[in-house]
Amino acid sequence: MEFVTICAMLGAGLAIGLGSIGSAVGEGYIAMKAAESLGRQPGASQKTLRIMIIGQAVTETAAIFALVIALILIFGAGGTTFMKGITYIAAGIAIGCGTIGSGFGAGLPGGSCMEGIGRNPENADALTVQMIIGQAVTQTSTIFALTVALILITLNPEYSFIKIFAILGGGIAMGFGAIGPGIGDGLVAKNANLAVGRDPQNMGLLTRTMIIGQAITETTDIYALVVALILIFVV
Amino acid sequence: MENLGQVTLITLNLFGRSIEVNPTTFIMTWIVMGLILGFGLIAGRQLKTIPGKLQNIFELLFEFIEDITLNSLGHKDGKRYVPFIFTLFIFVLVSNWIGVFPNIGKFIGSIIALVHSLIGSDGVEFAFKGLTNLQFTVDPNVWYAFLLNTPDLSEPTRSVNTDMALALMVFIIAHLHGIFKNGPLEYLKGYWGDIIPCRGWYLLLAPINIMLPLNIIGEISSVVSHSFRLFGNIFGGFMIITIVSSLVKFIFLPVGLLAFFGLFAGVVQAFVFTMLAITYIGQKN
Amino acid sequence: METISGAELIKALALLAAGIAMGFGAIGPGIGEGFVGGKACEAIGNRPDEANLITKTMIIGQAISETTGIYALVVALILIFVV
Repeated sequence: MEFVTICAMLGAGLAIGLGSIGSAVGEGYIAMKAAESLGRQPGASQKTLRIMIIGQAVTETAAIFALVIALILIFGAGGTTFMKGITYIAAGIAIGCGTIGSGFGAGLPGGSCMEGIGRNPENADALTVQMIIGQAVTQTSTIFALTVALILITLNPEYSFIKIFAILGGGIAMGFGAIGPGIGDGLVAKNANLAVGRDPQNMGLLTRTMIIGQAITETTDIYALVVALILIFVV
Repeated sequence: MENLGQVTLITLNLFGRSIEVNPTTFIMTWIVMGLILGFGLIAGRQLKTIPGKLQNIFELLFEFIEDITLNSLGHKDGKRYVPFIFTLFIFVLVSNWIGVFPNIGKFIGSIIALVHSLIGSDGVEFAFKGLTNLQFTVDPNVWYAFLLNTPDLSEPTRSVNTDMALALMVFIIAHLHGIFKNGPLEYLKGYWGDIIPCRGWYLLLAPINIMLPLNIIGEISSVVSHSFRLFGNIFGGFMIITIVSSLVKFIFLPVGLLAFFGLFAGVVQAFVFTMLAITYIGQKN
Repeated sequence: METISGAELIKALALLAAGIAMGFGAIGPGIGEGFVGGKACEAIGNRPDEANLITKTMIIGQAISETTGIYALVVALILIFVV
């Protein structure tokens, strides 16, 4: 096998292997909370089940992004140069590690939504809307990781010894840098959802505060993106 | 897919320096400004006590932003900044939304190419390569080739220059606000720290002046995070939509992705950008 | 493969180190800021009247939690451009 193909396969393995950790844990968390709330409110089983599946579907987004990159690496990998292989490995690291945080993070608001339904099934509609907004904003760190991974896949750099480490460094910076903000975003959305579950009348205020809180939480993720872009393009 | 990130640049010679600019961003920025002006003029021409549809939308948005600004900055300061904040919000919002319109030209061209290849002509070759990669090569002389080269409607905020300019504008306004509100001495004390005489000793209070360089870096990095937050989200969405579309050669429109990244992420990021602008100004109070 | 000089090796490893510094340095502040934001949302749920005060406190708290992230950014930029 050629070196580039080997690297592409390795990158695909890293992408989907690491990338499915977060979403799996997050979905399990939602299911756990759903089972708990069914124990309290067996009458609302239809509603709980429906909203659980919606929440899990959104949580899955991170893993689907990783799957897209893995498929592109397996079927669409081209090029023959040594550097192209390095970019494929870096892309795998970036998307694989980058989806751990927001996969797990998106599970947290889903879980607290289930908890809220267990407390009072009448708030289900408000809780679902709040949950989906929280989860969607939580995906930001994954979107950054995906952007860097796609840039790395389409990149075709000249060979230089320094550039090898710069590209690997860019992948590591974006991949690991997205873990913390992803979990942090999830924590913000979780508590906002719990508060909506207690009193849905404050929902507008809470959504606003949640989005600001999440936006500031993502700041370190943006620093990681900037460092990754500098390492990829400027060095 | 190889020339995905490439942009056309034109070089201008200004005062002996050559400056490279992206004409697409320029044109799109003017289109966005024209749209806002046009809608604003139509909505503001006949103001009624019972508002019509367009006036209603503008009033709703304006009251939403005004409410937040007055709450965060106080009534007196807030009134002064509401026009700026609202303009910022509506510009970023329309800029983010303008990319939602799919590339109809490319879409129609691809469908024609597909049909053309199915009826077996030699102007186009069509093949599946791998699982997702649809390949067709089109002779540049066929009559629909110009459709396949239609330029996209690109968001001005997708260019980092626009975002950086907006963030710098907010940064400068916030610092001027701090200087005029509290006076230059108080403003500098926020970075340098107080020196207070106490029983013949001079005490250095927090933020201690050895933190001065880090305080300055912290302020500058707020501009970076402010601009790159918008850029990263919009550019990321564009990347994902374009890659998904180009894998199937623009034959299918990714409607769900357009709705999520264009409409939802567009409005959330416009709101976040405006809120952070209010926050940065409010911090200097 | 051609021979690699010591200076090149240092530069290359500095770039890798910049990536590691920023990547791992972003984990802690991210989670920490998440805690701040989460508790602020909880507090607003309990006392919606104090929303302004709580939001201000949240923003200051998050800005300070972020300091170590800025240190990581500074170290990464030094490793890229100075070393």
